[in-house]
Amino acid sequence: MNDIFNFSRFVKYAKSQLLLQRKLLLLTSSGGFLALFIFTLLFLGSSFNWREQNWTALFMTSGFIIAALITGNAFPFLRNQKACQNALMIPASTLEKFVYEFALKIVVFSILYPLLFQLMASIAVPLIEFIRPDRTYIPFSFDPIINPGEEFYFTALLMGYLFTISLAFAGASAFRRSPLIKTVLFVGIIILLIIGYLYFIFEELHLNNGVEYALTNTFSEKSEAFSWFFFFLGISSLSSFTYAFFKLKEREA
Amino acid sequence: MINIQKLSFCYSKRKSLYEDLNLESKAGSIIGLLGKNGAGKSTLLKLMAGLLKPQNGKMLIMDHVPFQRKPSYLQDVYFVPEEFSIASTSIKSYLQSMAPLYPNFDHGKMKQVLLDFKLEENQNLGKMSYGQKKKFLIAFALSTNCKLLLLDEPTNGLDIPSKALFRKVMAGALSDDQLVIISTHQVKDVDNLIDRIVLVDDGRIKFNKSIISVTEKYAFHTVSELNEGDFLYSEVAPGGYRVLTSKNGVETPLDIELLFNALTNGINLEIHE
Repeated sequence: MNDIFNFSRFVKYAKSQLLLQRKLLLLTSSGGFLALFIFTLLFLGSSFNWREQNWTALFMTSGFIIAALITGNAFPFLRNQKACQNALMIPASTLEKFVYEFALKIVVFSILYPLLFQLMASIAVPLIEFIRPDRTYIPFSFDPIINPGEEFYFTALLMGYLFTISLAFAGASAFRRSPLIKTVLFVGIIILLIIGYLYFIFEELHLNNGVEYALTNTFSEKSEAFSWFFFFLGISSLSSFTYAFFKLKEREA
Repeated sequence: MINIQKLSFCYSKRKSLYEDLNLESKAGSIIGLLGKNGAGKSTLLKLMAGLLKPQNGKMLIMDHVPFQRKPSYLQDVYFVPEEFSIASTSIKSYLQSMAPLYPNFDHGKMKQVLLDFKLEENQNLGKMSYGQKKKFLIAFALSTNCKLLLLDEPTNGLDIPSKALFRKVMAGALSDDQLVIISTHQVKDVDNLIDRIVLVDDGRIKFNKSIISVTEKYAFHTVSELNEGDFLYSEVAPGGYRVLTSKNGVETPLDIELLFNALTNGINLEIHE
């Protein structure tokens, strides 16, 4: 028997979890949709000049927040000792349980969110135009997000998104109580340490001549700087996911 | 089936719960895991289930290391904890979602045990009492046909008729290739059900003998007066004393409570199996 990953067993596991959680999943997703819809209406209603950039900002900000909330509360069974016992005893491998959470909380969300946002925006605009007939609103479009005109912008957005959710995911597997808050605090401290460390390095690189000078002396081209930045984000995301997997594997009840 | 050698486990570094614990067991019996409160009965079951990681020693169950929690192991082990949470859904829906994960699940047996326990498939688990939920979990555990069933205080929360029913259902629903370990401090509840006693005390297995070997060598009586030297252990009981004596040709049923008290009070019973 394949004890690492068996597709048929994974399907059985996923079906069992979806069957048991279907009410909760439906309630939270419809609640989230409704909340986003109300917030969008409030933003649209309070704005006199709603532009493409406003849609982009709203799409990204709400996307990041919701993604962090969802992935930060992944592995919900780890929050409760009794539920944890049940979950760990289910005959599926750690990888299968991990992939299920990853697929549901990250893949499915990342596919559904743009679609639901588009749907929500296409309902919100006519509605707000009906309520405020004196104003006109630009409909939402993905075009400025995918083709922003700025080099590396879309890649940076995707990498930043991946980095955020991977950290939230790792935090969800590591902390039993309030994982998202603890992850934010923990990551905040780490970032402060890194910034402090970088400060000393940049001081060596004559930071007093300006960051621009230090950067251009360190990285000959802009693309090189971005490559290093993406490489760092990619490695960090991969490490976070690996950490989350091993935390789940070593979990005691 | 179970091979535990020199197992050590502690929750905190200051005090260890188990040190050099050894236990071997074969399939085809129902073991009563007895011990005082805090002796570590539940911990031992959790270690066997793979929910806890031992600090030292060897623990092999069905040739698996439990803490690795491989699916091939988890498909053959079912643990009914004393405190549990269960999805708030109907029995039917629970069975639809969870039964396919156990390859040997027997739906016929499930129906029969549910009938015995007077539970119906359309009942919602979220609206059941603690005792009913426990009966459902026991029914589910038996129907998985897992080779190893670990039941932690299964009779806690059951009413008197249900306790009798539990014994009846357990006795009738097991096969020879299964091993059941029932941890309990309510020793009377597993009377006439278990065929082996394992007593945990002071971080060690203090006693591990079959019921037959105990009753072959020792007798359990109630007497009105105590005669010095006639007994190995005694305790006051209504109308006299309960005594544990060497068997002198008289066959007596096992008084599991008396045996437990004798063992935990330091009486050493010499039984060779």
